[in-house]
Amino acid sequence: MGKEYLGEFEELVLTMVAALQEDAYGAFIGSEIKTILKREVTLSAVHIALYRLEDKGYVKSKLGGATKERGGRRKRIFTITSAGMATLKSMKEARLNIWKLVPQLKIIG
Amino acid sequence: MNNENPITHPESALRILSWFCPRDMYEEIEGDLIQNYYEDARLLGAKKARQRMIWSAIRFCRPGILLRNSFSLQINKIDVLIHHLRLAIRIFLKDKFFSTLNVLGLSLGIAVSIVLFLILQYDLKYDQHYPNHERIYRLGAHVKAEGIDERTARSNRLLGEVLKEELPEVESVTRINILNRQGGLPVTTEVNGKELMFDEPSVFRTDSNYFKVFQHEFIAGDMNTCFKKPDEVVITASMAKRIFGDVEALGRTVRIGYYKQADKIWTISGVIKDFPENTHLKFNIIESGLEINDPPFHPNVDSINSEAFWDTQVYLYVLMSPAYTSDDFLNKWQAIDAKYFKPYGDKMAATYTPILQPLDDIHFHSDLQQDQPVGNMIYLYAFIGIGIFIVLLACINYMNLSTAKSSRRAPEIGMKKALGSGKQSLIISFLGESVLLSLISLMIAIVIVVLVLDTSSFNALVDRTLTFSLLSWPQLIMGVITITLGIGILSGLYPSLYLPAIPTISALKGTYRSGNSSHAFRKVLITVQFVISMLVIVCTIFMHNQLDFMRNKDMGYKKENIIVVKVMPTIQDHMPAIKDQFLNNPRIKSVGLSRSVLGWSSSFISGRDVLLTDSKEGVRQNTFNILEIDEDYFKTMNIQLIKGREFKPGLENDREGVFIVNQTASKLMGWSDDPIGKSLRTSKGEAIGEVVGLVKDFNYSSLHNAIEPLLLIKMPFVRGYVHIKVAGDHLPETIEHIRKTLTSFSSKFPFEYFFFDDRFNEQYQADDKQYKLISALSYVCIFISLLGLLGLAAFTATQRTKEIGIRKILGANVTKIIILLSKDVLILVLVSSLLVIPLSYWAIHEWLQNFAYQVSLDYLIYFLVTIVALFFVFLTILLQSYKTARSNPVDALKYE
Repeated sequence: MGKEYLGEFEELVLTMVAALQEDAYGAFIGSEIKTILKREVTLSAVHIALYRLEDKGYVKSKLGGATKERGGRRKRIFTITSAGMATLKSMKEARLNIWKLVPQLKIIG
Repeated sequence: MNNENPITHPESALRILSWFCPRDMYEEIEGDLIQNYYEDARLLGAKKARQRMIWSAIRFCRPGILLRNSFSLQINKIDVLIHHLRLAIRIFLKDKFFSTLNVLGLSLGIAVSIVLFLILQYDLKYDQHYPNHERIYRLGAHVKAEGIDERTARSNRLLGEVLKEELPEVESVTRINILNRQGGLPVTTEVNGKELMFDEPSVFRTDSNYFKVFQHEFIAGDMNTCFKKPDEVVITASMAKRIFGDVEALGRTVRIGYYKQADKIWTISGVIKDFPENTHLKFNIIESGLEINDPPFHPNVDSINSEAFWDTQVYLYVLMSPAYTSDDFLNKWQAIDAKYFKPYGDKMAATYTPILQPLDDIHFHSDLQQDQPVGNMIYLYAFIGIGIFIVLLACINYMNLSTAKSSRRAPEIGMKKALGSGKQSLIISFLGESVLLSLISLMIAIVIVVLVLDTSSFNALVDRTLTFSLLSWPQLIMGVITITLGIGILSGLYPSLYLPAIPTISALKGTYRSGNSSHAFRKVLITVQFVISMLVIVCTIFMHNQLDFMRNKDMGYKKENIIVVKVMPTIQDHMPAIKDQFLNNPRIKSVGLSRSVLGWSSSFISGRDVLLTDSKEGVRQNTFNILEIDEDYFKTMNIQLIKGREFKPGLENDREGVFIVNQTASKLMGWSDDPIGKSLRTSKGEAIGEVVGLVKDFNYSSLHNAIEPLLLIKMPFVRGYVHIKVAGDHLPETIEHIRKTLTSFSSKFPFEYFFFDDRFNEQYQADDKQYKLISALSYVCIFISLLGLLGLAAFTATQRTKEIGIRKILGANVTKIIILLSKDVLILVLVSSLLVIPLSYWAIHEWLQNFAYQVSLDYLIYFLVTIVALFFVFLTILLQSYKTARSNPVDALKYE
């Protein structure tokens, strides 16, 4: 585990950033979460999570291209940093370890 | 995706966003919102999409975004504050029991403060609704001479003219006479062809300058012209409605008074808006024409009749010019005194000192004779005192509970300090907790206040109309917030200084126990609580005793089973026949008349006058109270005649020059106990009569006053009230007989009657109401104290769980343990009760100064109150400790 905990939602957003790569911006992350996890998220929650992650150094961001659908406004693309990747990995690992201890779910490996 | 977008996104959402979004992030968030909008519009339709966009924008208004705005310094402070707020809420919820106690106590404290604040507002704003009220004064006088020491609210009728002549600062003067000192005057008028007659309790007479001094709002008629013609009256709006309903009152005529007075026809020349409640001068009808009886006024020294100016007849109000001070007045008065008063004063060795009262002061600070009923400052001080007590109690509760729980919070505090919290920041966080609690209590308190004012009979209890309307007085909002913050900070002061000072290491180790010094201070606090509560209870009980005493004391005349009927003009001439008919009824024992009804209101005498007598030693003079009665009054009221004779029956007999005096009068005039045959005269020298009877002293005035010289004269014509002494049984039949008799002579007036003893207590009504209010407050005091006690007992029990466990193992039984736990507090109760004795003694005696007749205090009360207090304390501790004392000591010691 890293020095600071990540909240469940932050962890989720961080994972999405890692997954979506150059498409990792606020609105899209939100809609992907909605599609994949069937979970309603507000845009503000996503943005705040992203900013917090950036504060902690787990992601970095850059302004990207503007499109007509966005009324000509640019989007901010987030990319996961190595620190972020490390945190993510260790969190998933830790979770898996605890998971293995649950008697009902004998997951091998 | 179709790039044709028929409906564009709402700008309003973006505008909302711009209010709080930091510039750095603005663009991307905008873009996201717009993108989502079009997506939603495609799936759900434009309308839904708009809503969602606006909602999403609003949702961005949260600390995570707001604080990213570069406020530089402010970022830190707000963050810290919010953190503390969260912490405070968490702590509040952790200990729901204690928190509830605290909140309850604080809410009551704040609620009481708010109500008292409202009462203060109301009382101190008396008479302030008149424009120019700061410039209006009433002129009274302090007259001293042999046998006379009087502070009166009145002045001579010409004094106003004198002031205008001699003092240029005087803008206007007006005089008022109150015409209906006893009950009301009959008013007759014609409406729609029907003649209406009713009793009007409030009629004044004034001169044409009245509206120059007291500016009223006129609904009909005009301020400047309403008294230009003779025989005009102005009435209030509610009076107009009462008489004429919806018909226009202006221009109609009324007749007012008895006999010849009722022949005069008055024209209504104005209708004014009703008075607000808090004013000392309230009338329903005001007549013009006071100046008619003015003697001619010449400021020429030779023709000044100095003696006349000493005769005080009217209430004189003066409107001064803006730049004026009362010191100027007193300086200039010397000249006026020399010119108008001294000539006669020197002759009679008398002094006349003017008393100039600002209008705003009259209601509360006036202690003058012949005055309108006034409010009593003592009660106001008492309310404020008790209010402060209650707030103190609530604060002490909070302080006690917070510090008592300190051992629980020690680890948390130690942790905070170890992690680097400065002492200052800790202090602020604790203060913040108490202020937060205070604010929560404020909301509850407001609910309490509104409930009490709107739904209970509280307003009737205090005789005022109080409303909690924040909008009408900005001062109320200020006052309420100040009170709340004040209470919050006051209660939080001790804990916030005490808690951060807990030694860090023992706190972290978990071995911290509250030290002896904190114990001592807490004991002091509890003692203060007990003292306050017991003091309030004892004083309330004593007040009750005094009021009871006054209600039941023998006044020297009969109070029960006397029916009183007012004499209306229609039956005046038939009185002898009416009396005969009454006496035909075997249940009617006696019928007597008096111009006034004793004990009914503060002005129940017919007048006061200075009378003199000549004897070998010289002249003696005194101020007499005058009562007008008929020949049967003594018999009806069981008043005892000691010497001489009563008045003779028949209107022609004893009409003039025949007096009966009471023992006090007789003594003070130097006649000791035989005044029969002595004569009395006025200061001018005219002999006005001789004494034919001596009556035993009776309390014709309320027990506030000692018995003063009384002069009884026979009423020259029938007026006032018929007193009917009846047998105690079959009252409905007797009343029916009275009604039948009266209506057989005239049915113009509705038959109204009352029982003497019912009205009798009205003179103590003011005292009674104040008493009720104070006793209500004392209940609040007791309640809050009990809350504090409960909390402390609960806490102590849990604290000493281990100790109790050990004692049980060592063999103590439940009772012994409980006694042990309560010993400390019981001693405090005893100490408090000792302290209460001198305090309450002083307080009660101050209050009793109001009364010439005082009940003898029953000191057993102290004993009783102490016992009851001890009992309650014991019971409380018992309830809390019982569980612990009975529990298995193993459980208690398990957590070692």
